[in-house]
Amino acid sequence: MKILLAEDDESISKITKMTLELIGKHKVTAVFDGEHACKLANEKDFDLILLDGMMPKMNGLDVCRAVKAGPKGSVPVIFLSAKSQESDIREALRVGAIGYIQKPFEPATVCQQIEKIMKEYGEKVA
Amino acid sequence: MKPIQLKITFIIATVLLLVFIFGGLVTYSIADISKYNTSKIETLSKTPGDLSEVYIKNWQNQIKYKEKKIWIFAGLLLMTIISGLFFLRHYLISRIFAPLFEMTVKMLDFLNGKFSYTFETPTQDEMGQLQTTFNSMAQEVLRNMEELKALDEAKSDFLNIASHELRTPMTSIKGSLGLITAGALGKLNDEVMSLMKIAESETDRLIRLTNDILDMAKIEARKMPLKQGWCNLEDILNKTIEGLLGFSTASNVKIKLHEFRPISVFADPDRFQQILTNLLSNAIKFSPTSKPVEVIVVAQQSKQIVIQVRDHGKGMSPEQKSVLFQKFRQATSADNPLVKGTGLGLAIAKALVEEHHGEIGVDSKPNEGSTFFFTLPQWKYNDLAEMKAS
Repeated sequence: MKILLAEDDESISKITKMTLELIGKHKVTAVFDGEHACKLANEKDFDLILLDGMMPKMNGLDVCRAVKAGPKGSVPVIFLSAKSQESDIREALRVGAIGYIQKPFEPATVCQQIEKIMKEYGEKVA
Repeated sequence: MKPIQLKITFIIATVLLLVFIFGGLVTYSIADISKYNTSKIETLSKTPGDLSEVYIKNWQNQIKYKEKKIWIFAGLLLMTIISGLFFLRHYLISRIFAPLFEMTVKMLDFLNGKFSYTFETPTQDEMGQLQTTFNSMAQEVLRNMEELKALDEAKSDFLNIASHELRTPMTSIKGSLGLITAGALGKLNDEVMSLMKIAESETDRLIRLTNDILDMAKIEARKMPLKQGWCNLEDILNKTIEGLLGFSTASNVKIKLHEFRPISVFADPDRFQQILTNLLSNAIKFSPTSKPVEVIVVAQQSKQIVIQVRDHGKGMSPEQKSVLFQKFRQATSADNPLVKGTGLGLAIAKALVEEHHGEIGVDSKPNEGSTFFFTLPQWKYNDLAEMKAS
């Protein structure tokens, strides 16, 4: 899969990218703020967008709203969220995300989690 | 007492007093003059006759006159007393009872959180002093409350920031370690691997600790509202046991769920799971490998539902039991050495159960194992109407 990863923390971004590439064999493009994420999501073709909740310039929710309203609105969005942001999670699902992955996540399982969410989403769409 | 009633009391009292005083004086003086004159005339007209008879008559007249005077005096006194009482009533009500009543109303408002606290124009008497004192006390209370509110907000801000700031680096550490131990970057030799495993499991512990401390702080700051709803008890129990499968397998302890008639409970499913996880992981830690940890549901109509977690470990003495639910305390002893943990699990479980208006406790004797239990007030059989504990 071609994945767009928006995560402002460089370490987490790097680890997530490596995990998805090494374990999941996905192709990952990483951006570090919401505006870039928005721009890239609308310009290029991705199979999945991974969004962090809290980012500079535009937060995850705003990015999700903007992408869903744009030309690439059909691209599934999954949130990466810390446990403390339960209200944000509900909000994320409301603005069109198909799921969320809780931080801190385990590299070994994050790919499985993504697969599971994508599978459920695929069944729902079909 | 309404102001209009007070005014009426005052007017009645004044009219009564005026009528009685003036009326009394007029009557008195008329009686005085006429009686005196009559007696004088009588005396003079009979002068040539029997003097003694005149004197006696005169004397009798005087007695009659004095009797009348006494009656008038008594009447006047009585009326003055009555009007005096009216005045006293008016005074007591307007100056003492009404202000006291007003004070009570303001204090009750205050108690109920309505802070219409000020007496705008305190009077110049003792009651006024009381009102002024009340005003300044109320202001002080309000000021302190605002300060506390600001502190509370600062605390929850801190909690949110701390949660995020602590979790972010832990996510990175855990992620890096996970990537390496999963072999994504090539195979490691055994020594390196064993060290990486230690780092990984200690990171997990650090994450648990942080979560526990933040949870506890949130519960204490009442920043963890429950999202209660009807949930299937069996589903939650199975999900919790499933979540602990890794830990129970590693500890070589089985978890056995006793069968029960399908039940729903009114609870926050996440918090319910947290309570049960804390009790179960405790039980697993202290359980011998040969015997399972048991989960038993006791449902009795019109009573709170009881969920028991029973282990067949060493059990506890009453002294050990007494500190169990306190923060950062573990029931340790020479033959029950400190088991790795935050020492917050049971304190969190207790706080969460109490948020659900249930009870938590433990039955245990040395060498007989321990049965931890908690109760929930609202539950129902899935095939029956709601059952509320009395």
